Amino acid sequence: MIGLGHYLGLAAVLFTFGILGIFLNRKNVIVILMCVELMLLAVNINLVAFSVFQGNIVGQVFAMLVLTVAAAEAAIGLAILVVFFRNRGSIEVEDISAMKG
Amino acid sequence: MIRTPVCDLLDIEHPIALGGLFVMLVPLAIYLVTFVVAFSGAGPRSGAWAARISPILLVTLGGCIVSQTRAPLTLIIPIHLAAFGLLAVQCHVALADDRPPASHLTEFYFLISVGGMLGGLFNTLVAPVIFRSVSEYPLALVLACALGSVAASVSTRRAIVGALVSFAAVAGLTAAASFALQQTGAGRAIVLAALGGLSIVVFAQRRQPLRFAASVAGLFVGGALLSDAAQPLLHAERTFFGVHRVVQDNNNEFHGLAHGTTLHGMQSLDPDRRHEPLTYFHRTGPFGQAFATLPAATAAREVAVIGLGAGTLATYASNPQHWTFYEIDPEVERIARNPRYFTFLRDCAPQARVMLGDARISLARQPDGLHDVMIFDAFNSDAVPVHLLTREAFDLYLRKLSPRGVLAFHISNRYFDLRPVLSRLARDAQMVAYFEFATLVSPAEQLQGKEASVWVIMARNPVHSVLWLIVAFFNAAGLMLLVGAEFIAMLLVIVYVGAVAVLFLFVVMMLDINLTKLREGFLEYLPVGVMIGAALLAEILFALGVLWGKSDTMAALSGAGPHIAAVDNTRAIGRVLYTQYFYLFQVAGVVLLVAMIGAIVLTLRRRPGVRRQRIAEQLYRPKDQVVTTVKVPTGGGVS
Repeated sequence: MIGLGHYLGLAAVLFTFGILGIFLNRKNVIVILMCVELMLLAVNINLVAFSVFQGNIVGQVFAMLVLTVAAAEAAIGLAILVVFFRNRGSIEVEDISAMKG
Repeated sequence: MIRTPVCDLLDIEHPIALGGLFVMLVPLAIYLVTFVVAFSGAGPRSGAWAARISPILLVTLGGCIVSQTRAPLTLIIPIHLAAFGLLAVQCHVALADDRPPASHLTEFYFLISVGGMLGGLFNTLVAPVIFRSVSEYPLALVLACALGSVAASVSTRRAIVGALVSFAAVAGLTAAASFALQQTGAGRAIVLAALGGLSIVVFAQRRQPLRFAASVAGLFVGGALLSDAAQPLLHAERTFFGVHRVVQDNNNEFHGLAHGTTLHGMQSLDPDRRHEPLTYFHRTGPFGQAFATLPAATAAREVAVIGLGAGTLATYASNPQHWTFYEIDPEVERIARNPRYFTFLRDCAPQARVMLGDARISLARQPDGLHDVMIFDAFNSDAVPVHLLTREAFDLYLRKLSPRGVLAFHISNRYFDLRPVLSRLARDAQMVAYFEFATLVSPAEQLQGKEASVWVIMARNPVHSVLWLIVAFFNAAGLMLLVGAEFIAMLLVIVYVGAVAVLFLFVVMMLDINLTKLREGFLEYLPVGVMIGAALLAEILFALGVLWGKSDTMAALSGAGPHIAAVDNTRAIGRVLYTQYFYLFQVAGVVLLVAMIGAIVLTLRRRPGVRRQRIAEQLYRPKDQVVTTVKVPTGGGVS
């Protein structure tokens, strides 16, 4: 029987993959953004799993809000990336830190 | 159009080659088996059988060659092999009949070996020098036919005269028939019937070995004569790698380079079209389109071509580019550089280097990441150099390819379909591959020198990770569906897969990112990253494990399990979302609006010099600023 624990375990693994991706990929901003999406997905799985197993629909409403924020974040993040690439011709994270001025 | 010569039966272009291996090994095996058969007890009987069947096969073979039938290779190769095997049986039976008494057997076998060695030396050392094409094979067939007459010693003057007459007659008739076959398309059936009749006449002479041999020789020579007569042969050279011919077409419009039975390149003799890439490299063909549009190709600095041919690809060279041709056969370079035959190299890419030698060895000596485009034009003949299509070879190409480089493979081939091979290799190397099968060439285009061709283009694939992200989203959606949260599952598919992932794909493809450079240093952080990840995962799972341990807590968290609601999931969400969480819902909308405006504002580019329509300005212009009334005097015109 698949229970709440299984969903939480899967979400934990996904979240860890997200963190790992950010750690390992120190250069490619696109991959970092994708890892953030993956972590948000893990959070969503947790929210939905709790919501379903507790019989409380509010968790799913919050999952929707997380989804909204994730979409907005992806749009803005990629837009910044495009502008950055246009100006610098690269998307390396090391170059981005140079914005500190 | 230039037709490729017909007198080659099966030629071996590369020693380490698929076709070559087959062409060499199978006949050798058959030859050895015929030895065994001839010297065994069944020798005489099998010899008689072979003598009965081989004339049929020989005549069929002659017919095939004259009528240029190359189509079902599965039929023609067995005919070749069977004719060869049966003739070998006949010869060896004759040899076995001549066997001396046991006391001289050692010398007998020794002399047989010496004969074999002499034959081998003739084929490898003498034949390439004295013959312009692979003539030793038909020659051997004819001589083997004539063998019966030597054994029966019926070489009287009358027999010889008869043989000469039938040789001349058959050669003349064959040449006439195949000339008719090439000239008139309509009477093809009649000509083929005439050829069949001729074959029967030849076949009827099988009881007189000398005359039969002469007639078969007539068939071969007639076919070969015609191929020379039909297309003025400018140059023919036989090297270790096969026979190269430079031919001119009947209307004196083109020069063509043929290797064996395969056309490798053409150049127009018209001064205006002198620098136009023809045949498989035509600008409207797959390669021309790809080279004109691919950013990697248009911005390329270093271009490699494996397989020089006539040098047609040099027409694509532009000034700052640096082209390197890799060619194994020095003779091909001599032909391509001889201005009497081809001027592509001289006119279009005078600085291009030609590196002689095996492409893999020459490439290995080049610096890594050198070439922006690598064009492989070595797979068109009936013998494919398979050592250029191995995983190791691909590793080499990828090392020598610049990060954004492109591989182009020309794989038009009469016999082999290399697409599956290349698609496997591309999958192994994690590359994207596209192929174009451009076989639709109109007769008008063909007259202009365009040929059908098949090309494969490969590049490193930058979007694997995005595709895997989509897979993860789909999986999560499936899990949510299973647990009963249908609405969120659908939202996940629509929003994430439909919008976010596509956005990622767009950006990845839009930005010309150098991914190999970005992947550098990946391994450097691997130990630390894995340690941190493992620690984090262990912590979370430990917490979960503790929960699992306390069954009452877990039960309390899990509630009553996935319960079936009285109303469906979407309705239930709607009831809360539009009532209790209405403001939150509105805020989500505002967040999306802000994100949208933000993204547009960020990426909006104001370029000077772009003419835009400013509707507000247009509408607010007063009439008197726009229209002026001019009084035009009669006959004066507007000043």
